[in-house]
Amino acid sequence: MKKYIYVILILVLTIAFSDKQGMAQSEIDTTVNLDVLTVPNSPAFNLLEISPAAVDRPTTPNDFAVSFANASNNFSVLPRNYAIEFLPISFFPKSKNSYAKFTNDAKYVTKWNQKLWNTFSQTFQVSVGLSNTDSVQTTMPNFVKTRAGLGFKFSLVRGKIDTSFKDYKKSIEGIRSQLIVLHTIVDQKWEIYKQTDMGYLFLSAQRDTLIAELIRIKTNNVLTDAEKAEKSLLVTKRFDELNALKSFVEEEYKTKMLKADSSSLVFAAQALKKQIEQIKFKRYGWLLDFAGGMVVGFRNDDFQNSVLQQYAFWLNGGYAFDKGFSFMGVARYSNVLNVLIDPEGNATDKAYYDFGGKIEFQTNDNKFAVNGEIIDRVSANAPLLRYTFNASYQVGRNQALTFSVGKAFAGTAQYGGNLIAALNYVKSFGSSRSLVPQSK
Amino acid sequence: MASTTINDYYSIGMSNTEIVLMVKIEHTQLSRTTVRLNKKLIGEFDDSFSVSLGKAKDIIGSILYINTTESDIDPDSDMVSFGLEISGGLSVYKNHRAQTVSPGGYVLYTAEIALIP
Repeated sequence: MKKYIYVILILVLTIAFSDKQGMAQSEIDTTVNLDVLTVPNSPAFNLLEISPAAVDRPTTPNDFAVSFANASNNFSVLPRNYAIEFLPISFFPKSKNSYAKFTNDAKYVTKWNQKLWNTFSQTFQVSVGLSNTDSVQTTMPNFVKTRAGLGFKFSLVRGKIDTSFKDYKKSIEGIRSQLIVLHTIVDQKWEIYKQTDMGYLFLSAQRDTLIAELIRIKTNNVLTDAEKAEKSLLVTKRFDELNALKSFVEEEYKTKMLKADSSSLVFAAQALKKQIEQIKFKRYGWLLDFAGGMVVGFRNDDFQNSVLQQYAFWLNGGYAFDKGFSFMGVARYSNVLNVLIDPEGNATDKAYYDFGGKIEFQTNDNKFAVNGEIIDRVSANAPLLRYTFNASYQVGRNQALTFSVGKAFAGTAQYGGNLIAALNYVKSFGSSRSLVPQSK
Repeated sequence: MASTTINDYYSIGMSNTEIVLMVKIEHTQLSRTTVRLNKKLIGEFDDSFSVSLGKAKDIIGSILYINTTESDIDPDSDMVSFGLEISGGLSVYKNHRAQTVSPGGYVLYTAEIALIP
């Protein structure tokens, strides 16, 4: 039953944030869209050790993303692992980006604290994950079947912006110049029409008469308020009829007028639209993220009966070339609480230190990525290895499918390993970055 | 190529209240707008904007002209829209028009609003 509650909760959150995004978009004004979707690697999933990859390539995060992970069953059963991640600051009003802020352009953003805040506000991400070992049947008291991970992540070093965005910005400014030229022509023609067309002039004179009548009524000191309201109502009814007729006459003229001047802008706008659809935004160069979080276990699947099981912090980064390969690494400290029993019979904590590396290849359009990674877990006993091969493919706008296969750490005290074979489905909202096209 | 025409009136009252015009362009489209009050040019604006028209008592009986040319450049949507809002009067005036155009298409919006007492 509880897993259905989780699903409903995630769906409600999904719809709520989706609506929020729609609302935000309707309030966004002078903006352009860039698709920055990359497969998110939630710290929450990382902590629960159900993440397909443990070494992450720092990316521009999505406003909101949902991950469903389902080991080995190819979505044939209800997924048991869920994660959501979101950028809390993007939900606040006045979080609108400008091109200068987005890129931390040294020409416009000069103070170090502004740069730091821009980076933090654009990358600070919170993730929440749930993992459920539903197939385990046990009557053991206080058995933890459901675990929740709460994580955060933000960038310290973000690399350089892809130069193709500058081309895009230039194109937008080009189309705006053309739009201004066309608007000026249309506006001038419209002004000439207003000054010369007999029909327009006649109807406008009628309107001026009605306005004068309304002013006379409102400024008449003899009339009572009720009389003023009654007389005004009669005039405004005539106003409505006149406005309908005026709109009809003007619309007819505009249709004829605009046909002659539209072709150049239409062609330019169509070419630009095609160009925009091909652009995908990414960063390259040196990248570094800081992440952390904790895991809470729920005994007997009871939300009132929870226990803090683990907390961890890690640095994740490396070098990404603008095309093709990237080389990443991770250094992580994690502490599992009350997992060992000392000679006196007291529960004690166990600390782990993970160090790993990853080589990734990404196609130029960012749609397909493959990578291999290996992590060495250093503990008081003996090192443990985790290695995986991961592939991800963007199946549609804002949707990605990832595949992962390899060997896991296999728990806290085993030398063997479990086969990791998982398909993850990722749906994100807000992978478009809305920016002011002109540097203002 | 399409066009939309608005002819309307707005009760601004006769007080000292400042009357403010706001134009909203949605779906990340590009636009250029010329605003006039009678024959006086108030300004030319890109995309969404707001501008003060003056005090109500000073502009009673004037005609507010708004000409907007909007182009579809948003890869996500072929929807173009024009939201007109005037505040400071007896109530807030709102007029919203939206339509789908062919990719890369554009629309001319003209609005004439009589500012009545």
